Amino acid sequence: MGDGKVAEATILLDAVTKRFGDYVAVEQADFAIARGEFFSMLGPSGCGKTTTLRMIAGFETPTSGRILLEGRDVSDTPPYKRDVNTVFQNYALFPHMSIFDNVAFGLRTAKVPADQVRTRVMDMLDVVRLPDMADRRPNQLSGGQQQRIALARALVNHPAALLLDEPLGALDLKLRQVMQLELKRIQRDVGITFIFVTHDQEEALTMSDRIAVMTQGRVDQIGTPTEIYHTPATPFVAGFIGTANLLPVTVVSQTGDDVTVETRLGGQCTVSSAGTTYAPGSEVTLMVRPERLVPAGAPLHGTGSGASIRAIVTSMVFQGPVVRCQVRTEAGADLVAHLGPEDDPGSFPVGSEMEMTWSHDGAYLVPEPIAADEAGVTSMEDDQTAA
Amino acid sequence: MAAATTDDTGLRRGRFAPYGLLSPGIIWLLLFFLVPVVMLVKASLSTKPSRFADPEFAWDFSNYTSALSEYSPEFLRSFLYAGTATVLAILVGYPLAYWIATCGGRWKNFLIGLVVVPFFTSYLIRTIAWTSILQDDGPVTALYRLLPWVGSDGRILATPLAVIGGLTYNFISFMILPIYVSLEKIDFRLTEAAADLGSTPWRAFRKVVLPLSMPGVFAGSLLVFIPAAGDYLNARYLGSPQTSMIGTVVQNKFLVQFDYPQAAALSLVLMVIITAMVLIYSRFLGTEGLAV
Amino acid sequence: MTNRVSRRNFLVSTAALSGLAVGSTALAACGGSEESGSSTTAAGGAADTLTFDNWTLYIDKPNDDLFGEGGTLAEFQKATGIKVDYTEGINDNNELFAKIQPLLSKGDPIGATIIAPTYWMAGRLLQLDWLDQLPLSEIPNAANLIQSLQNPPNDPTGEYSLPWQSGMAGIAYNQAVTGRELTTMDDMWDPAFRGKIGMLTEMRDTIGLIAMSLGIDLANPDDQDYQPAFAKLEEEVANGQIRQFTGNDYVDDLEQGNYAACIGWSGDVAQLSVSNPDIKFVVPESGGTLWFDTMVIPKGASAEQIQAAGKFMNFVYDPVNAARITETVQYISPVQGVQEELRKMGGEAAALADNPLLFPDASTLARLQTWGTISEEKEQQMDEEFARISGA
Repeated sequence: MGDGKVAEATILLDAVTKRFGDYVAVEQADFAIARGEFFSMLGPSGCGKTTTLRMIAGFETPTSGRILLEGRDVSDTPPYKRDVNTVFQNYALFPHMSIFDNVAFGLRTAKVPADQVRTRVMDMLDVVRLPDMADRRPNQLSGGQQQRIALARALVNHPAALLLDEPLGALDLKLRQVMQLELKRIQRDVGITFIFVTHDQEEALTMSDRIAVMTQGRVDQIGTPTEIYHTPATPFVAGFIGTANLLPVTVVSQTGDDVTVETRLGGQCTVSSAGTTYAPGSEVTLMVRPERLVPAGAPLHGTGSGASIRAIVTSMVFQGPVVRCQVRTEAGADLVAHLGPEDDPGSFPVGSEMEMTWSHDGAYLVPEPIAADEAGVTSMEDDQTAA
Repeated sequence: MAAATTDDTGLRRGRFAPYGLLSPGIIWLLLFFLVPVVMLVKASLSTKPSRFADPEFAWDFSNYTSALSEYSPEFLRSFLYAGTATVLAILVGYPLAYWIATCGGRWKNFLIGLVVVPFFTSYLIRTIAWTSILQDDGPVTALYRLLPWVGSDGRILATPLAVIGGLTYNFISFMILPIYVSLEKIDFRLTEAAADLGSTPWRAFRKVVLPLSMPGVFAGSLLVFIPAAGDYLNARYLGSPQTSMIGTVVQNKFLVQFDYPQAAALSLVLMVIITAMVLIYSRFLGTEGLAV
Repeated sequence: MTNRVSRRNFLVSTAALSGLAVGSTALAACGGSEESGSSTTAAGGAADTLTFDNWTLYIDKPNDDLFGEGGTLAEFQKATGIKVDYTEGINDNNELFAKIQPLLSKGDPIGATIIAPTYWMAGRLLQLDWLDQLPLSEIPNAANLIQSLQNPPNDPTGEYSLPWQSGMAGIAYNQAVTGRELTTMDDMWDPAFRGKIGMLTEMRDTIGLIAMSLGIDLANPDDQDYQPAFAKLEEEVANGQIRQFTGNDYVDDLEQGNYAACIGWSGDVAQLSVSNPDIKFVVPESGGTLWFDTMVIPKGASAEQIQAAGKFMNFVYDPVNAARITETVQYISPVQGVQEELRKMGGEAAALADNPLLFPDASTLARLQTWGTISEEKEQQMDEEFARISGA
């Protein structure tokens, strides 16, 4: 990592590894977070995202590697000497103090004069839109209000970075969506670096400037939401972010930007290489998002002709804006397509055979192989509305 | 009409049901608290026609005036010793409870069990055991005599030090247990939050853990102070004539001199003073804390 | 007076004392046994059970084996067919009084047929008219009562009580600490022993010894002014000479060297000096007190029970039986002929016959005094004064 990058990064993780006994919680985390960035760490539980956050906050010490905060090595600095603040998953508001005292806690610890404390706390309560709650106790507030107070309590200190550990996890869906926008607004207003830990990919996509997708202690990919969604680096990322239909394929040939691959059933199609060079014969994964998968003959979502695949309709579920159509290929892989009203879902009764197709740029090659039994639709949270 | 009546009875039954449920408790309180207190009040206002006769009720308040005029040194000493013992119990018991609650891990229950173990032995035996431990020719006293302000003939037994030490020792479990319970309930992620907001561990303890454990300290203080103030065994076995407490006087009045009216008056004065102190203390500490 | 409790049993007995708060329970238990006793009487038509409430460790075969083969209680049952319901419920005279006062003052029976109060407490019970006459016709052995204890002030006619055991209060000291022999009360006030002198919580013994050292007589207390004795005691408390007032737990303080000297009881020292020859007992030159515990019958017993009680008293006043008790309890026996019986028994028992603590010589006896009866008013006044000085 170049020195220039170090200088402009608020936080830099340099080959950070954390072990608990034999268990490797975080392995070789190596990335920088830029000033003012809304950075998310996304992954399933146990992927190491919270441990990484706790190392940045100072509650855990890296087993090896360095953490730099504003260019200074803070690997062994205790939390109370680090210029970062955390919004905890359970908010961790002090139950014996008023809201005002909670928010003022950090300022008073830093021995800020009382009149300034008052102004800054009240200003911050305005920012989180709870100016009238100063005299209440935390247990008199709703979950969403406590969430805002936790945010205010951290932000009022103007930290170099704000760490948020699944802060919206305890809120119901409606409130969560409101708070997502609210968080984004506040982050824009205060201009502080946010490091946001979540297992909710939609949340990450909605708010983040960049996302680090983690699994089993490793960072699989770091990128903007668009990059991560459209050009996932690994089958895991492809599956974890949104819904993906994944098929194991073998590279046949590459001509410029066009890569010809062959499916297990022998069918061939051409996919964009997205700048990667593939050796013929290498095993890779073909990804088609459900919204790009359409019945043959229907207008393609995208440009250029892709390929088609024959399948039996196994279910057809109306979900409002789209109809979720699940099919099974001859190879036994389950695929999901999101059909719009123009696709006339009524004409495909369950059990009928249909041909699914996608455009040339509707498919993407993930440069890693996938096992045959993992083929098909990946996403466990296929129906986001249910989550 | 009929419906209204039914509703009415239902309502009435509903209204009295809670009292029905409470009645065992109320009967218990009446039988074992209110009745004895009334008897005590009655006895304290009685006189005895002769020494070995039964007391006769007479609205005689002289027992109260003499209780205050003759025994104020013993009262003062009792509160001084009990207060000191309470403070010592906090100073020793709090760190221990804190250590068990935070570092006990899977040994927690075992360690708390150890705190309770002394209770398997009679209170009296434990007190008397100290007379052996602290004997003038024993190693503890020998070490004590090394202190610069203690002479070579210094002793621990038959001094206020021994009495206060005995009180602290005998009642410290009543301090440790409630403090442990209140510490156990604290979400220690709050100290992480405090550290995150710039607090050193000491400040995090002072601003977060300590205030949240105050209900335990409050309960423990009452459980130590009240019995210690009325205790006589520690003064009897570890003290000297100069360290006698009000409990000693009450015991002597009851069992040696059969002066039940005077003993009852002394007991009631003790009760009233302690109640007043508890109220002041709870106001000072915030009774709200008790409900947490 | 807890002096009957031997040292090795001290902890056990004081543990029982801590159960003082549940005195009423003990009382209920007494009542229970009394009830069963009377029902037996009604059914059998004969008094085949007798209840005797005594001090701890105050008979042969004590505690664990009260009815052991060859013991007094077993022998008595063999001889008369009467089973003695023997309990060790007495720890303290005042505590005993507090227990029985509410019952006897209302004319209710207390459960036990015979109890063993110390002489002055027996005198108080007699003055309160709470005692029945002894069935002296059943007790021809009463004639064996030693001369010095006949017609004592607490029972001038001798019709209401018989002594059970007797002993002396004098100076007990640890020669390893004092470094010299003590002979007078003034030795106790030696400034070298400051803070190492113990007094008994028993007012009659403590004040008695001090009064005698000041030349004040104990035989007719109502004619005497004991204020000088109290003043002396107060002075020695105030200047720190006196460390503590204790019951018989003084033996621990004495043995551990916390005390150089204290007022103590002959029986304790007799047992203690066996293992620790430094522990000495002396009747001061100015005099010591002679005390004795008595067998009395509180009112409320049936005629059959009184008769049975008489048979028991007669039995223990037989020198053979009395010597067996003395061999164990090692106090001064009130029964004539015990010394001879001990000699006949040989061995360790014969050695006891020559122990001056059990059989004081004439010059020691001459220095002993027993308190006369103190009037109710004066006793209250003295108790209060003593409590004030001793910090109780």
